[in-house]
Order: sequence, then structure tokens, then C-alpha cells
Amino acid sequence: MSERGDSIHAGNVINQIVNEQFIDQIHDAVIAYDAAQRIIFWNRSAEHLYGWDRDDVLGHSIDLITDLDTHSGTSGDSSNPRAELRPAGTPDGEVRHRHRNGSALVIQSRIVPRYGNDGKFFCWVAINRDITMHRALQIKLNAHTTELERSNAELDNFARIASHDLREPLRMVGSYARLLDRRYRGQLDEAGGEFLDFIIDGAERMSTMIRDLLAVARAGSEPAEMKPVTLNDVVNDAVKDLEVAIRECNAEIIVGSLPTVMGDRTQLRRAFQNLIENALKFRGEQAPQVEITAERVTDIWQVSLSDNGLGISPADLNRIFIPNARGSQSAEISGSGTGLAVVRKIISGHGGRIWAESAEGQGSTFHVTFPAGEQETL
Amino acid sequence: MNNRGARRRPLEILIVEDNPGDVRLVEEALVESGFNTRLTIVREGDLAAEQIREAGRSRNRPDIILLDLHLGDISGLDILAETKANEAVQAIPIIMFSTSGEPEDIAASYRGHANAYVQKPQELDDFLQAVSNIESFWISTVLLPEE
Repeated sequence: MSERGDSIHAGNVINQIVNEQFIDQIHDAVIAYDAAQRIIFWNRSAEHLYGWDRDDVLGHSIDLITDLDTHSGTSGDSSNPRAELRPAGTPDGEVRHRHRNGSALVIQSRIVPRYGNDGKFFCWVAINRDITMHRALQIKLNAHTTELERSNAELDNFARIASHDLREPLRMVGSYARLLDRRYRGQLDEAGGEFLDFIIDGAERMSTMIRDLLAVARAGSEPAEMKPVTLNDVVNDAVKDLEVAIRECNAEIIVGSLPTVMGDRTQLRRAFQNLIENALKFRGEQAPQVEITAERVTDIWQVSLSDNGLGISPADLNRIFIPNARGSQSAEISGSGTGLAVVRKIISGHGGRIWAESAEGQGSTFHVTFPAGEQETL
Repeated sequence: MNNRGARRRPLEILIVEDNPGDVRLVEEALVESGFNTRLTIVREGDLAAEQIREAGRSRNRPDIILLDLHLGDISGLDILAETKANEAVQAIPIIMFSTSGEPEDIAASYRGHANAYVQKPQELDDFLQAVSNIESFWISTVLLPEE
């Protein structure tokens, strides 16, 4: 048992280096083992995590908990089956460990070497975090997301087919009402003429609605080509597209420095075009001024588009992104009320969010987010 | 005006269209535009395919075919493919005439050697104009093969 005696001795040494009471307060399991894989330190969280008391494991091989990890976890390094033996400085690995009761644990593990005063290797210290629940939730979440995406796609498909199929009979109603109007108006009395006008008007409105619904269903459902896109270029394109409208209302578009994001240039151009168009459409008394700026907020880019227009009432703030649900302001303003719905669809297709802030009469600000850089794995 | 395209006999048009409302609208458009045309109307896809095959054998061929994309029984694209693969009738211009503006439908039609793709306009006036444009183009502008 002299070997075991050495380990315990080593354990005493490590106790001098680190403050054991302090280490016991840490939520992560802290385990130290020597070059021969013998456990020489085991904090309280390790006891909770693995179900083994300190006295049970000291001097035993680390295999006690790592025997599951013959092939390392999802992000592990396959060239090194024993993640515990990875060289210092390697990033955190995800490994599978075994609880005393035999159940598997998903562990995020960071391993650092300790050196003695003489500069010689002394032991490995593993800082292990239980992410079993986290991973399980993530798998559940992924399943829900997939299901949601599937049902969204189904809904789009339904909207597309429905609007196609509805267009056909509607065209009949509209066309023959017109033909009746043209050829037989003279034979109708006043009431008859009025009835006919209602038919024509209803058919026209429904036709517009169907066309817009189709446009929303299609937006973002075209294969998005994700490439690095400089948003300044996108906004310049959009401004060019709206040149005439901008000149007509004497609008000023101020564009700050915008980031490069991953996206589909054509779709994003459409999104910004709709946003700017929206600002021009709902302008106030003075010439419209639209300012587009960006700022980095942790791991996202937030692009903001502020105008000095009519503003949006609180009741409308949540409705403006719904197709055909136009705000109360829009009664006299031309347009179909799907522009913002299309924008929202494009932005969510890019992994972002859109929302608006406004006070009626004080202009509105639309915020659009984009993931910045590479997405971190959890 | 160059008169070479002017014809003495009426332009024979085969209309393959399953919606009687659309057939009637095409007829109305022709009445309004006053072109000299003679229509043959087939409402069902398989009958149309048979009629085109028959036309190839009898040499009594339509000058142009106006073909709906979405027929009840078979797709207009199938009739298009069969016609363009049949040497006896492949020279007859086929104009696809459909409510659909889907890029896939348009691309598939031209891939199948359709001679034109016209979307049925939603508005009456535009519809009548579109039919009139088709007639005018195939009667006065282009030269069609001699039979």
C-alpha cells in the first residue's frame, strides 16, 4: 500500500497549495490526480456530482468515473480518447463520465496541470461541470425548433397553395363582374348598379389581399444564399431602388457605419427597402429623415432605423408585423400592409429579431438584430 | 405596315383550357379585338393530347396552341412535352397560358420548348389585352411555317 500512501501524501501537499474549504464552496467538481491517474483530491461538489465520498476515491484510478469516455463526447478530440490526458491549454471538452450508480453524466471538463515548486509536473487538476440536464434540455429544444420550422414551412406552403387556388375563382368573379358592368350597366337600375359596384370592389380588395399573402408566404422561403454581406452595400442598394420616392418627398437618409453579416443580399435588400419605404410612407409634416445605425450588443449586431414620421400607437406596435393588419394610421395611406411582415420573415430567416419602439407623433425606431460572427456552442 | 404576315384564311387556334370561364373570356377578347380566328376548344388534357396527335396524322393542324398549365387530369407540361417530341406537330407554336406566375412553372415551360409563357392577368382589361396581344403577335407580327 505504499503507492496509496504516496498519493495521500501528495494530497496533503495539494491541500497546502489550494485552500480546501474554499474549493469545497465551488459548484464545479474539482479533482486532482497524479501522473499515474490516481485521484489525490476530490472536493465536495465532486462528491455530489459523482456520488462517491472523498474517502472512497482517494488513491483510486480516475477510471472510476471516466470509463465511459472511451470515445470522447461531442466536442472532444477523437485523436485523444482520454480527454483527461489532453495537453494543458486545450479548450474545454465535453466528456461522458459515470456516476456511482452507473448512470452517465455529460461533463464539461477543463484540465490544467499543476507544477511543484521545483518546476516539475505534479498533478492534473480537472474542473468538471455537470451539463447533463443542460444537454437534455438542448436536445428537447432542438426537437421543438425542428418541429416549429416544419410547421412554419407547412403553413407557408398552405398559404401559397391556398392563395393560388383562391385566385382562380376570384378572377372569374372579378372579370365577369367587370364584363357585366361594361356590357349591361345600361340595363340595370340604380340598385342593380350599386350591387355590381360592391361585387367589383370586393373582388378587387380580395385580389390585393391574396397577392400580398402570397408575397409574404414567398418571402424568405426562397433558398437563402448565406454569404458575408456588408449592410452598407445593402442599404445603398435599397436607397437606390427608392431614389424616386426619396426625391419626391425630399427625404434624407443618413447611414452610419454598418457591419458585415451572414445573409442573402437580395432578401436583405428587400427588407431594408421595405423598412425605408415604410418610414417614407408614414411621414409627418416635415420632410422625412431616416437614420440607420448599428451597434454591437454582446453577440449580436443591432441595426436601428429611426424616422421622424407619424409614429406608431402602442396598440399598433405589435400588430404592424402581421400581414394585412395595418395600423390605425394607414387608412389613407396607400400600400398593402405586408411590407413589415415580409421584413420580419426575412429577418427571422437570418436568425434575427425585429421590433419597433415609438410614441405617436414622435417618430419610430425599428430595431433589427443579426447574429455577430460565429455562433458560440453552448 | 409589312403585309407579308397578313393572312387570308382565319388563324386556327387550339385552346386547351379546362375552365369554361376562361374559354369564354378568350372568346370575348377575340370578339372585341376583331381578329380573324377560328377556335377549337378542348377542355380535357387527354383529349387535347389525342387531338394534337390526330392533327399530326391528318395534316389539318392548328396554327397555334394556347395551352393551360394546370388542367384537371394531366399537366399542360405533359402535353407540351409530347407535342414537342412529335415531329409532325412540334413546329406548332405553343403559348402557355396560366394563372401561375411561379418562376418554376415558367422555367419548366421554356425548358419544355414552349414558344411563349403568358400569365393570365387578374384584371379583365389586362386579360382581354393579353389575349389580343397574343392574336396580334401571331397573326400580324410573326411568320408561321407554311403547311
